[in-house]
Amino acid sequence: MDFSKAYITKLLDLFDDGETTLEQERDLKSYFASESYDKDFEPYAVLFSYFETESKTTSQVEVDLQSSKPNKFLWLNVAASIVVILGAVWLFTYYEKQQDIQAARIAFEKTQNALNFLSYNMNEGLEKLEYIEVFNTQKNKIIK
Amino acid sequence: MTSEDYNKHILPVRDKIFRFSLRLLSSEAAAKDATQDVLMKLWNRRAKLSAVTNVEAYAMTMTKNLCYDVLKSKHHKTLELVHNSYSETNSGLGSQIEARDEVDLVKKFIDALPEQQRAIIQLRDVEQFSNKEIEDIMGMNSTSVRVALSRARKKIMNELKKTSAYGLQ
Repeated sequence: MDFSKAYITKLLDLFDDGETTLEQERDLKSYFASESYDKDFEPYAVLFSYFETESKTTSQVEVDLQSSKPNKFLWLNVAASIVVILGAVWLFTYYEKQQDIQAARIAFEKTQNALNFLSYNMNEGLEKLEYIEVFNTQKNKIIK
Repeated sequence: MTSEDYNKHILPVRDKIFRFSLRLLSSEAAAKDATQDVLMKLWNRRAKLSAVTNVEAYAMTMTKNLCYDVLKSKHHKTLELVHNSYSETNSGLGSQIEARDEVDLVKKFIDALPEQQRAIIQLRDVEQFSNKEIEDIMGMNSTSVRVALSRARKKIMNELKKTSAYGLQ
């Protein structure tokens, strides 16, 4: 693009007063970016080339958003582990209770067996007592 | 705003945020920290960002506020350091010879400007924000933006013309 020296001078005056529009500044930038600018404007060329290089500086800042995402899931993790722990505790107490009930049932069955055994033997003993009954009646017949 | 939207709209602004905070804080490490902070804040606010019409200007406003806070909290701690850097820029020939590259000279002149003018030069001449956007970002009216911009440009140009007249470029 070719710009007349008068036009550039006018733009630079406006530029100094802070009155240029962005379009006019773009004209100035492209004028000074071409090597054919008038050497009278050398200080301005330095300024504009500074702006140009400056606008290309990159940050090289790596955004560590990955660390923020797991933060969202951190609460989920904590909640999940609490649920797992509570579940384990509940399961353990439940198991213990079941063990107790089981042991009680076994003790009950053993006692029941023992009592059954006792009463069976008792009944057997009673059968033998019938002989005494017979003996008694016979004895009473003789000894009146 | 999903993370895809975020990547599309915010990450391109990342370099602008970095350059702006570098201009205000003059320390690369501090500027990187500030950039991280602003990006994190934007990420945390991503749900509200869809209501913001100009995300870029919004990000720059946040950057400005954050950098001003950093400068304020730093001011009393590193007063001596700030003083040192000023005496260095004023030491004339020595530092000017040091800054052999004329582009480095421009940087020195801009760094010597007051905070507000530095910010406005950065926003307007490097990042090419419109005056309206700069008014919003800086919280200034159009006249004071124009005056500050003009003062800053004139000061830089005066220094540049001086050095070229001395043949020190």
